[in-house]
Amino acid sequence: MSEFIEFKDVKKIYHMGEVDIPALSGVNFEIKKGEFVVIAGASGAGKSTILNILGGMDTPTSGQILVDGEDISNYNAKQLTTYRRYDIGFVFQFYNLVQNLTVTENVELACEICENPLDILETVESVGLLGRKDNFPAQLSGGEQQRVAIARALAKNPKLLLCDEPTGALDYNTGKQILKLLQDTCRKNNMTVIVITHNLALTPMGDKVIRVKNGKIESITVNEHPVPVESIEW
Amino acid sequence: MKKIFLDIFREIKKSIGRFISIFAIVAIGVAFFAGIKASAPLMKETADDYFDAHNLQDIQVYSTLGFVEEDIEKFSEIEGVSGIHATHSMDALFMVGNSEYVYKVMTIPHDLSLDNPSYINQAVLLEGRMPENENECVVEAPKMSRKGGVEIGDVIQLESGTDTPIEDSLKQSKLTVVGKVKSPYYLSYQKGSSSIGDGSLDGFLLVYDDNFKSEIYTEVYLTVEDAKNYNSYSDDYFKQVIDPVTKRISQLGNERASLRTDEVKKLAMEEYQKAEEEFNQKKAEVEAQLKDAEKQLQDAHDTITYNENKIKDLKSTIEIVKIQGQAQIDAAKNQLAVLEAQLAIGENSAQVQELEKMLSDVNAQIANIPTDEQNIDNNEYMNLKIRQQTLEVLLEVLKSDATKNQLKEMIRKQEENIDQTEKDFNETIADFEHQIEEGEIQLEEGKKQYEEGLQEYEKNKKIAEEQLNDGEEKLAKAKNDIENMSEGEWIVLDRHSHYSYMDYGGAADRMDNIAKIFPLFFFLVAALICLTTMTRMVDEQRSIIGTLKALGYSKGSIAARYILYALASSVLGSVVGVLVGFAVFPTLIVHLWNMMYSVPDASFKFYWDLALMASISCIAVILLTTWFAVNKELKETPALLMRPKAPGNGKRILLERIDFIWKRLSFTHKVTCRNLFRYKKRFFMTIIGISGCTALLVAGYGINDSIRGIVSNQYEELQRYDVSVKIKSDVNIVEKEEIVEKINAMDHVDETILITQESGSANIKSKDQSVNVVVVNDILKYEDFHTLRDRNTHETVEIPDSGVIVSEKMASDLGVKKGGTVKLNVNESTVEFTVEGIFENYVGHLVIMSSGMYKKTFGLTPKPTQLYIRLDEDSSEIESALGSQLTKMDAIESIEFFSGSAETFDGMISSLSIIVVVLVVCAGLLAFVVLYNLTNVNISERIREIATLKVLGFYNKEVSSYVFRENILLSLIGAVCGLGLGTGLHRLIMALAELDSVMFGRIITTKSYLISLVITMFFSWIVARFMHIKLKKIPMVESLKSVE
Repeated sequence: MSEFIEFKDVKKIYHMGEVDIPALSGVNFEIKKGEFVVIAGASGAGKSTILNILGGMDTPTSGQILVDGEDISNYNAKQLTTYRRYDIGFVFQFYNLVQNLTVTENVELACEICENPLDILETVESVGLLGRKDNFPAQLSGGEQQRVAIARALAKNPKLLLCDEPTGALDYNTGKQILKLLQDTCRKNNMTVIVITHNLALTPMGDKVIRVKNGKIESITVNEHPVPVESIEW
Repeated sequence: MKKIFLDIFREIKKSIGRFISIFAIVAIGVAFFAGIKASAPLMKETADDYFDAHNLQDIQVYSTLGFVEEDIEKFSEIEGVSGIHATHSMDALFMVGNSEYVYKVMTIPHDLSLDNPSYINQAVLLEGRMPENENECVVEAPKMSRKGGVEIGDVIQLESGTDTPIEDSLKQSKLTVVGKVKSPYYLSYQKGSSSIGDGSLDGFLLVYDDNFKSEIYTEVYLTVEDAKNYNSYSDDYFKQVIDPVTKRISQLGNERASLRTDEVKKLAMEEYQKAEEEFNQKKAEVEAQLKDAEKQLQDAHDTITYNENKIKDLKSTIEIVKIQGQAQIDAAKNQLAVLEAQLAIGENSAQVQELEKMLSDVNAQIANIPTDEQNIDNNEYMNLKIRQQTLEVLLEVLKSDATKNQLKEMIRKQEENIDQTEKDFNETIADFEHQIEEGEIQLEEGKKQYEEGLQEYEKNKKIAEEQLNDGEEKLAKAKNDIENMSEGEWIVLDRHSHYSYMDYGGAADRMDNIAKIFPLFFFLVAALICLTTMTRMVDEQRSIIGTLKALGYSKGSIAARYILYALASSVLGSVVGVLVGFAVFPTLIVHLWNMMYSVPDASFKFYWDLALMASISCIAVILLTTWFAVNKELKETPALLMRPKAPGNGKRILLERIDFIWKRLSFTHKVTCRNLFRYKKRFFMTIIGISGCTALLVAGYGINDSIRGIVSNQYEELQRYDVSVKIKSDVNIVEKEEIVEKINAMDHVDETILITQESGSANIKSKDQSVNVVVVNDILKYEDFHTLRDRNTHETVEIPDSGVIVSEKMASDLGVKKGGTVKLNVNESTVEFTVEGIFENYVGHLVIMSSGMYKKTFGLTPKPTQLYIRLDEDSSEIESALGSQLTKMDAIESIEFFSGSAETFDGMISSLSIIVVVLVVCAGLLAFVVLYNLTNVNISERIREIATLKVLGFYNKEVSSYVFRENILLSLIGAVCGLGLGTGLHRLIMALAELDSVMFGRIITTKSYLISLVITMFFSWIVARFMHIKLKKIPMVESLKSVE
């Protein structure tokens, strides 16, 4: 299997007045298509920066990022938007649903701008929310809201699903269900899923675990036998 | 406390946009409130200063019977009177070029020094010099004039415009204009009404006191001691100084006036009797003349008949002569035959023998008659005797040659005789025939002359009858007037009755009314803007509030932070607003008003009371709304405050239930609709703000439309005649018909109508305003010249047989509806008419009645002197050609071309269009402040949502349209509401700003509505463009942050 994503010596330095703060100081890793990747690290380790750059929300100071053969490191703002638009599905820690739109409508919002969106209702059904499709976010629990967010990301039919602390705002059981949903999606749809978390307990479930520390890759572990979410305890 | 200020200062620096938006709306609100509110007092103060500087009368006293010198002396004895100017005034006409002017002739004393207390209503010399002798005058420099105007150096000949010659009143009526002035007595270009000319005063001219002949003064101007220390528009001015003095004058008047009444009545009666005598004399003369003429005509008629008979006689005589002549000729011819026979007989002896035998027979017969019967009485004897003689003669003749010769001679002579007779006869006949021919020609001529004489007579009779009728009616009226003459009285008028003072004061009050509405509106917008801004600010700083509260700060001290923030911005806004407001609005508004008044421009003036009132009320509104916004949060527990605010529930909106519309909306439009109704505060703020903006624009452009509409409506749609010609009133009825015929025959004259136009006046809005009374004879034809219709329904308004129809502005100002009554002063009497209809009219007050109604009311037959001319084609060349033709006609007094009126009128009012600029600028400011604020709050509140959209891959454009679609829609809703609001505002401003005698159009054109809409949307678009940049800068990482 060829590499789907490649980070080659990616550096990111923030300029704060006179001071240069390096967020990433030479990061290298590869991810294959259909892999379930967990990127783990403590707060401030640089995992969010990786996510931002990979998600097309930020550009690296130097280095190369290849996604599906395209080098996105030199994209301009417009190209990055197009990249986000067609290639990336994003799941936020705080769901970021539009409060004024129902479940279906939130999904529809993302589909509006895509080329080959999935069927909205099927997607909603796939995250198990068909019964609540006309509810507003405020009428849903946190887990349900995160499902909507996942549905919104999936419906775009992206190449890559990026999840930023998807369980961060959820309780234990609900978090497990969400992770299960993500893992199932990865397996069923052969979707590349990248989950970013500070919770090291989640690492056994990933096909590949990338540990980040002080802006560098601490280790890259490949699990030959990833554990299903149900059996993980934390 | 210092830390708090530092904190607030930093807070301001951080959120400068928010600070500015409160600052700006406060500044705008206060500027409007204070500025417009200050306009009215500034107008009044400026006018009062002007009045004081030029010694405007405080009191004016008229007497119905005039004042004598003794009266004047009494005035100076009244306590409180400071200056006295007893004077005359009269309205007079004069011509400059083709135009007739009506000017009020007023007087100035000889002592023109400005500190002369009795030089009242001091003229301000603008050009030239003051008069130096009785032959000179100064005229008003017209601020706006409908006609050309009088220039320095012009020599004007005044006419009285009535039956009394001007020489009766003035020593010098031919005056040289030496200067141009303005007077505090007349501020407005409208000078009120006049009973002569076209009914409205065009200006005034000043001559020296002693140019008036009469020793009876018509009016007295007075100033009052101490009055200048008061603002004459204040109540104190009247209460403290004026009222006591007017009371004293009225008391004096009661005593003095009745003294004069009897005297005047006596004089009038004498005059009447003189006039009656004169009339009777003239009547007798005229009647005698007529009788004479009639007799002459009768004589002529007799002569004709006589001549006719004579010709008839001649004709019969000629017949007789013919017969007689023929008989004569025949007799002569017989004789000739006898002679010829005789000659033949003489030549035949047998015949002679026979004759002898016959003679012997005759002799025998005679012998047979007894002797006693042989007398003359016996016919038979006489016959025989004649026969005997004849025979004897015959025989004798026959027997001699001489006889033969003689006979021959006789025959020849006889033949000559016959020739001669025939010749004579023919001559006689020819002579007779000639006589008859001549007689017939003469007769023809006589008949023609007679016909002409008859026509002449009929004409003269018609004229005489008209004049006599006129004279009789006038006499009857005069007698009636004298009999009903009321007791003389003094009319004491303070400035409440002074036209210009009231007119200008009224304008200031109207301004004050406008000042009441605008600020209210701006305050409302300010409150809404402050509410949304501060609510957002408090929302953003929820956790800080919570933390402070948890730390033990009191509610008050936490609130103080926000209150102080609002206070700082609103105080700053007030200061700027007051300064800008006072600097811009009052002077501008006074300047605008003063284009119509001759009051000097105002200078900057600071009104502390207004400044404080405006600032305090605006700051109070801001602080209250801030407190309201903060208090809502402060009520919550710190624990709740430190947690993120529960996101507002999404809600279904009403529109979703209307399935068939909702289904048709695209997804993004559905989102927009939801959002619109989700944020109600913003919804209303925007609707109110934007509708205000559109309303200002609509009002602005509407004012423009209304003003522009006047000309096209009045002079194109309603008045369908192009020229009005005034024929001199002393032209008699026949001459008038000739003039009309002559004009009808001129080039490009399509049709004409002769009507009667009288100048009247009515008390409208407690001012004596001039009213044109039109009396129509041929109602059907008049409707071709003047469209009389209802403004709204365009239904024709008929001229009734009884009652009158009234122009719309006059009716509405009088508050009269159809069926009500109006009081008019016409022909020196006050009459009440029933209003039978109200018709559309824009310039001037107009009352129209039928000639029957006029006769019934005034007892006088209307004398039409006004000729309306409609041209089949109108251009300036045609007009000038027609004009020069008309001026050549002596009987024409004045000519008015309406295209000229339309033009000058247009120029006069178009200066008001500065208002449009002011309103558009205000509208722009309002739109920007509201929309900027709205968008700002909108963005900061939805920053997460926007960042999420960006992460989802929305292009910048899509993000903008997602956010701004709401703004556009709100702007559109606001703008549409504003169209309605603007229509109302426009109507209000029109009603308040309208000139006395001009009705502004009420219609706003579709174009103006469209322009207003487009400009509003343009403002909205500009704000959107501006905010687009801000949207672009929103970092996507915002989406990753935790909810605050």
